[in-house]
Amino acid sequence: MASAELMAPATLMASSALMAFLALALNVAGVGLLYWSWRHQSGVGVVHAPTGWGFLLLSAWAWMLASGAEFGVVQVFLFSGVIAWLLVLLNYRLQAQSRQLRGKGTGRSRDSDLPTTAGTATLHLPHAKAFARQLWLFIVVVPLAGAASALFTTVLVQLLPWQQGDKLVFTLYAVPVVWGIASWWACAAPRSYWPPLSFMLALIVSFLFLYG
Amino acid sequence: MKPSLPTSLVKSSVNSHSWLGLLTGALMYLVCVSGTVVVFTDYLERWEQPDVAEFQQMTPALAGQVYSQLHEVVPDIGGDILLMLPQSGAPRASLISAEGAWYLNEDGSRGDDISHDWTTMMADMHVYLHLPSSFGMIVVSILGAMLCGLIISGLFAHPNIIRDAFNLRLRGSRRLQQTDIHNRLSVWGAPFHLVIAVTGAYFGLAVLMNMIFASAFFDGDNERVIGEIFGAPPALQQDVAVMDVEAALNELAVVAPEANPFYVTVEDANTPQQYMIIGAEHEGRLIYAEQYRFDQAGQYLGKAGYTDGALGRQAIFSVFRLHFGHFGGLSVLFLYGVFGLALCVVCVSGINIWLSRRKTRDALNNIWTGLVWGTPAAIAGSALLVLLAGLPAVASLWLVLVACIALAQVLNNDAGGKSMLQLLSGGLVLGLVVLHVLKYQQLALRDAALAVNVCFAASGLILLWLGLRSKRKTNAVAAPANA
Repeated sequence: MASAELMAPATLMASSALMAFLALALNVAGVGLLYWSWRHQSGVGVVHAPTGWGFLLLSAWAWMLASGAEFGVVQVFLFSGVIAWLLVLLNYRLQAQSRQLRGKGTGRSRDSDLPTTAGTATLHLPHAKAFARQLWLFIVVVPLAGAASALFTTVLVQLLPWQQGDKLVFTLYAVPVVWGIASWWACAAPRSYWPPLSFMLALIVSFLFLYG
Repeated sequence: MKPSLPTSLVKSSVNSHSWLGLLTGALMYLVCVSGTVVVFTDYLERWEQPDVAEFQQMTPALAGQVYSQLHEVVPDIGGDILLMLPQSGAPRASLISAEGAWYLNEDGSRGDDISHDWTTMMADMHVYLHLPSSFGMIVVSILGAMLCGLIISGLFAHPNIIRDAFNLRLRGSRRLQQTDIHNRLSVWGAPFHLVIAVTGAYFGLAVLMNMIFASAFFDGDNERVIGEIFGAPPALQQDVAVMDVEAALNELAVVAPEANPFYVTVEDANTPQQYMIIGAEHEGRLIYAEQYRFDQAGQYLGKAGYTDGALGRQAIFSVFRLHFGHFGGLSVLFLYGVFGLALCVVCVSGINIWLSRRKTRDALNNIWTGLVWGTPAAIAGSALLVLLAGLPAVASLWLVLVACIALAQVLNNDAGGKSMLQLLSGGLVLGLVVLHVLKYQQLALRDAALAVNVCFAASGLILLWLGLRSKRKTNAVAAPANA
């Protein structure tokens, strides 16, 4: 009985390690197939892309079995990213080799086309008008969009049929994303009055909803 | 026919991405570099104080004895008292109270004072950029929100996201080279970067958001907001007695045998409301800890509910481990290091693209070179100064960083400044390893200290190699120009 109890954690660890290995293999196969389909974008490559995504789903499932649902989800994203970066490097090497075989050499780095030394090392500050425009954009993107996102998200999330604690936590997680989207819009249309006007409106309506 | 984004959307997203990147680039770089270092904080603390006793376990009886001894020395001790228990990954015990902070020996007696100024300085840089702490935390949180904006605008600014998914053209023009590095690292790392942005923004934003929540829903009462999110503290009225830590730890083994306790805090010590929290890890969970609460006699009062309570409560207590990668062992820690480094490269290459698009070249190029390659030099240099002369870590870091920026400005040469600062960084990192080994001798060559020294030595050699490579390139460029 005692030896069986001692064996249990060891067996569990071994099966977990085996599952992690399987998950990694599926992960490599999944991203590898995506790379293969990218290299051969016509013909067989077309079939490989969905198969690659399928393998990635399977690897997510295997990672979850190996390390639990929470760790598993994180691991599939982390490992997929690293495998993809390694394939980017592999692709770079393959392209360099194929250039060599075609007799085009490895290509020359064109760092030399850059000026490496400045004629002057002074700092060119923007003109007052340009500075004022940037300052205005900063005000719209940071305090205005930030305040509008915080209040507007709080109001929107309150409409969800959840308990208050969950709504507050969801708001905390959602505010940076909403703020990010708002700042993207404000910077994408820097000369338009729509973003600042919309933020002001969202701010006022949300304020009235919360405190009115 | 391939799906494509409207040209106007792509163009405006590129502008948006550039503006947000320029606004945040330098500060974001400092936060990312320090964050990458801070991921390994448990190891760095052990490296900085390698002469502290290490052991894997502390019995409930010994933990109780530690608290009783503190109470004997300072009978009227108040505030919160934190007893960190040793674990397999962090094999040190410590006691932190109003009386001071010190490590514990294996027999529970008082050991060295906790003094890892350099590691704390790196953590502070990541959390609030050495600004006044509340303001700095808000600034860093804003950077988190802006990083969300950068990720979103970056995806819309990238119409060839699939066509270029695995492309890397290092032999093209500098602009193309930097663009490819920037895009490949950021696209494949986007899920990680988004998680880091959201969880990173949380720490400072929470303070502001709690004020909004309090005023909107809880009659201005911040405590009620915290209670709603994290769980309210128990309401006790007891005749004050010495906390029975041993009984509480023994009781925990009965009520939650699967829990792995790693800290005990006494809240509001020596008051009728005093109670104990035992924080315990649960295997496979991202939560920092489940908090088990006990009264002063060690009677179990209930848990906060981070393991099985409301979803929001579980999510909010997962922020720390998710942000710093403190879960899943060394492999995850290593991957967080790699992704952190990738985010640093994304910051740098983004600004490099903008610099290479400019028609002029001025001091901004020098300042940027100085900041980018001066930061590793400043990190290593500050550690050297702390280790060698006990100088203040924060002042040392900024002093070296400003000196590096000044050096780059004096040299006024992109490649030359870069190579010199890379060589300087490499030399300082290797010097740091040598000094650490000379100072701590055998202690520097075992456990965590050895692992950190090996990593530092490898980083130093890589920096030296990069420096020599850059120098060769500089010479190659200069030779035809001179001819």
